[in-house]
Amino acid sequence: MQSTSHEEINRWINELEALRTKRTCQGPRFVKPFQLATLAHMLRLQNPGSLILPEKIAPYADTMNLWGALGIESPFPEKNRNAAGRYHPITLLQDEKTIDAAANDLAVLFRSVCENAQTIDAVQTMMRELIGNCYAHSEAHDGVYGVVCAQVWSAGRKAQICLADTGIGIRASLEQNVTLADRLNSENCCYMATEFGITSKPGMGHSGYGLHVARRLLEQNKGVLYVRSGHEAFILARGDTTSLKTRPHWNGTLLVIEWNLDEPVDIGQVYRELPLPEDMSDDDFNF
Amino acid sequence: MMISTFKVDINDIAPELTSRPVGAGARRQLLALLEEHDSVEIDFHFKSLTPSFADECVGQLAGLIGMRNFRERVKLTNLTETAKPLMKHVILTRCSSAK
Repeated sequence: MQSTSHEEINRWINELEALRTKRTCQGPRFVKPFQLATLAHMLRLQNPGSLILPEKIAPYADTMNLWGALGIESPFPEKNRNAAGRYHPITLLQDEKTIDAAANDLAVLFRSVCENAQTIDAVQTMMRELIGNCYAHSEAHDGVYGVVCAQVWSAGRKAQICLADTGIGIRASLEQNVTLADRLNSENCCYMATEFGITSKPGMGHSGYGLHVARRLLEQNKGVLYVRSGHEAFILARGDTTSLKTRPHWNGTLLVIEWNLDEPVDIGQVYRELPLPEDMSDDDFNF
Repeated sequence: MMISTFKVDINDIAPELTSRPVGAGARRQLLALLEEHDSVEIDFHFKSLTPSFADECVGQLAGLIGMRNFRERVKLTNLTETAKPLMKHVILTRCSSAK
């Protein structure tokens, strides 16, 4: 499995736009979780009565619970989806109380291919934080805050997690924080959201840890973090970062995380590197 | 002089250690306990927690009562090695911004 690129994601989002406007599109040759999560995200807004997919990808889409996520009957018989298998099917984020369960399901999937407990804990913590952000920042009004799905490629030693939320998007969210107005006039909002302390709700106790921690972990892992919202995107891939203007418009926020199963990560190191206030020292604690 | 220390099991005040709403609920319970007792010892049972929970529960508690008060009256026990630098960060950040 080759690393996912901006071009690959952009091509697919253009196909989704064709699907939305013309009711048909060109399917990918190699289907990844991001394609199914974004397809579910887009189709949910269209409220389809039926869905017809090419024979080549329909069984995989059924394994990933695409029809179930859309609330329509699958053409395939009901099946047992094994949490410790290779897939985490498309799951709708509907209840804040299930954040831990959703992140734990992902951890079960990853434990089957990665024995490093510290790495699994880091990825699980990152996902708890990012899924939590969907509920805290998305401002969804229809009861569904987003979709999440994942897959591991044991032979390729990679995993991909996709999280697509149904909110107002990063720029509109950050615009609620008036102290960011100047920066938002000239900077890419998806890039800004990966900086520590960038949040839409500074007066309401929020601190902006989620995407910053994700970015630092993916830097350690030499993996991929793709953030897309509105007409902007940010990609970290193997240590290089790029900020982009994009078309078409993406409703809400799309996160694609791709990590290398054999590159351990240490979330404690991320915390140790967080900037401290200038007037404070951390050497006087009794724990 | 007798010092009353109340030992709190984190599981008794927070059903999970993930979200801000649960962290805020735990913080309110800790503040109530600090009204009744000289000090509070919180046992985290080496459980994994998120930055948002740590910030909402412990960081904002420290910001509210002040660094000196926090050091004298709140003890955190059985933190994972990963959680220790996170706790330091949220406490120092919140105490600095509360100044």
